[in-house]
Amino acid sequence: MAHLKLEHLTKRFGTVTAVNDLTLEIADREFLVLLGPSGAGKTTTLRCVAGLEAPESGDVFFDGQAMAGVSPAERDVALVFQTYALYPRKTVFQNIAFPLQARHLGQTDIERQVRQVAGLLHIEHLLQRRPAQLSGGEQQRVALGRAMVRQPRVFLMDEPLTNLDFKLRVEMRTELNHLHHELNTTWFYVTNDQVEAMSMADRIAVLNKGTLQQVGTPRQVYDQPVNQFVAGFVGHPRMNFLTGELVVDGAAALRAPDRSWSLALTERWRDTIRRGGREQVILGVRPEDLALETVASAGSQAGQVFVFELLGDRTIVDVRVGQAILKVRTAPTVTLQAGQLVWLRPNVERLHFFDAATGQSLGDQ
Amino acid sequence: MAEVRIEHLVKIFAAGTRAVDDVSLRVPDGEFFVLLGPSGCGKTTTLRSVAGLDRQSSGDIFIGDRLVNDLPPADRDIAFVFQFYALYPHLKAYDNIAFPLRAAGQPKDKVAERVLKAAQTLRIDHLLDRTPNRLSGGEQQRVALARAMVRRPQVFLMDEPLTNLDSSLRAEVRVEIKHLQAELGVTTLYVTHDQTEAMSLGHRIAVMNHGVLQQVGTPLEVYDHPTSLFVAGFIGSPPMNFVDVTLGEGPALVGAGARLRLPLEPQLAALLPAGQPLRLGVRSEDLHLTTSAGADLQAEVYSREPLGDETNYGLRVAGEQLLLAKAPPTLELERGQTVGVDVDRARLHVFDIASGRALR
Repeated sequence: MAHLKLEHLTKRFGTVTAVNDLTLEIADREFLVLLGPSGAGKTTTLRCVAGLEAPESGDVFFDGQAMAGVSPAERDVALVFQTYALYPRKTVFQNIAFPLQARHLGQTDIERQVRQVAGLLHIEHLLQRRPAQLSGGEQQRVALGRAMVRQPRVFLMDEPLTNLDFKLRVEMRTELNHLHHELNTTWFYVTNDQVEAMSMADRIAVLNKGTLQQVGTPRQVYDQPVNQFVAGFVGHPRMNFLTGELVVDGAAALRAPDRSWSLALTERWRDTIRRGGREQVILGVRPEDLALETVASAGSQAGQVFVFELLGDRTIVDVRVGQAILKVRTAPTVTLQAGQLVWLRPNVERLHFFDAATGQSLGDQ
Repeated sequence: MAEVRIEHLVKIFAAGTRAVDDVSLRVPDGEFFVLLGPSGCGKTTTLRSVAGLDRQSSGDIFIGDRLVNDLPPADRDIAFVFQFYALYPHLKAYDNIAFPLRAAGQPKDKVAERVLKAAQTLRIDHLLDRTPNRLSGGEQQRVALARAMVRRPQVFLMDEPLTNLDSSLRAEVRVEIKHLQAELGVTTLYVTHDQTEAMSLGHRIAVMNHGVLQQVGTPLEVYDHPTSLFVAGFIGSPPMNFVDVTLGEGPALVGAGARLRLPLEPQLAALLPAGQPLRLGVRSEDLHLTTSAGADLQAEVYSREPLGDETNYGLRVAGEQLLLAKAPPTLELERGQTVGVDVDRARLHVFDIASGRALR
């Protein structure tokens, strides 16, 4: 258990700034996920916390204690990587027991602790096997078990599910989610997979090009992204983005430069967009916030079905509106033809607007 | 454009492995047909046999009315797209796309016309004077697709063309491929291990396992009416929930040492053998969470996974049994909380464990 704090952390490799002035707090027993594309600086950040890299400036604090100069072993963290790094000649039991033997615990103590951890991970029946006799998912559980028996102050996990196939990933997500609550330990977890981040985190910190973009609960990051990067990175299919021009001609509206669509604006949105002399903004709307209709009505936009994808539990329809193609999530029972004329009605309560130049969100209204 | 017919295809590798075991398929002219299965299931070997890159041990392959068993790949009038783009690094996108046309001795204006048309369809017309190293992975794959397209082959053969792209590009190029195929109407055989890709792209899907064809049907047929445990578990995300049960008094399906009990309509129960080990299958969207005490099952919330547009709940039923249920994003349950679960009877699957066959 530990409270973790990263203060103005900067790490450079030659002329490349991998982590740029990162400040982040992780509460005791919190599950924090650091999310970003490859090259965002996530792993470097994790390695600074582990003590495997020394930052150029800034520091890491565990329970208020500065970690500069403290060796990885003394930090009392456990690292789990995407490669399992098990000892191939040792049994599962011996692999998990290894950190305890190094601490010279008695045999009964070791036995009890290994069995307890194995029970939590559902691998009791595998204790006598060797890694080569295990599936990828089982091996990853053993690696987790070996980290868990140490009862570290902090778990540091670097994309531990990346090498598992899709089904195991889904299963392990549920298990990790549950384990975190059972273990009462602080978890700092790095991934480029937004589904993992959304599904497991207490809070998500989104990193891009070494710079922190947003920290918040999964709901906050999904519903109130602070900029276009976060909005586009979190959520699948991705949020739709459209460039629009402000038109004030009687009532205020946002209109496509090619006039293929237009959207009535509330006065508050009009004023927000006008502030700072903006003429263009980026409109963001998630696929589930567009209703697909087969007849026109007030406020809906005409479009043409480009393709549609029947996924069983939902259908994703790509609709061409002018030059743009918008993704729309509909019920699996909707029947469509490519080329068919349809109308899209946005949920006006869930629209996002971003500054066309900076990508910053214009806020919630 | 042509129909593709595969009859009793068998491929035995030197070590004696039966990679493809008596596969017969008919892909009508203009269809987008997906071969889906885990790695090693024989899907790529099947495709390579159609292409002429592998020679089958027995069986026949027809493209149109022609038996092509003895034709080299170049004479089969097909275009192959791989997961690796295989572009010429020193040639501009334009020249990469034009390559097969020039090789066929097409006149210059004809080449220009076709290259431009293909580039416009794939929306890469602004990239034509770039070399591959100045293109993103998605753009390179589009160039490779355009090159396949300009040849106007009878059949497109595609082997996991999206595998090397990151997830957002994959979704984007997937849509392009689907649109392109619809536009050109070229018969397409597409191999993938990704069930989302198969569902999204295929007019029909053939699911393969261990060299054997498991089921052929439209995406919704294989999703809603899987004929075997294998297909049921392979298609759908998250995977279908399974519970081992037997048919008991009531009638009801009984599992987890009698702690789980699901009453059934007599008509449904009549389809099931009594006393035999059965596996109940139910998709996560067919479990409905409710606060009603009269629900089918009572469960404990084990994990909560908000995804933004929906939330997956891990539920513990009757002790150890874990089920995954989809819920709207607005429903917020706490871990450890008890919740009722209603099972949509109309969408419930029951399999015979011994044979793996669906009983309904």
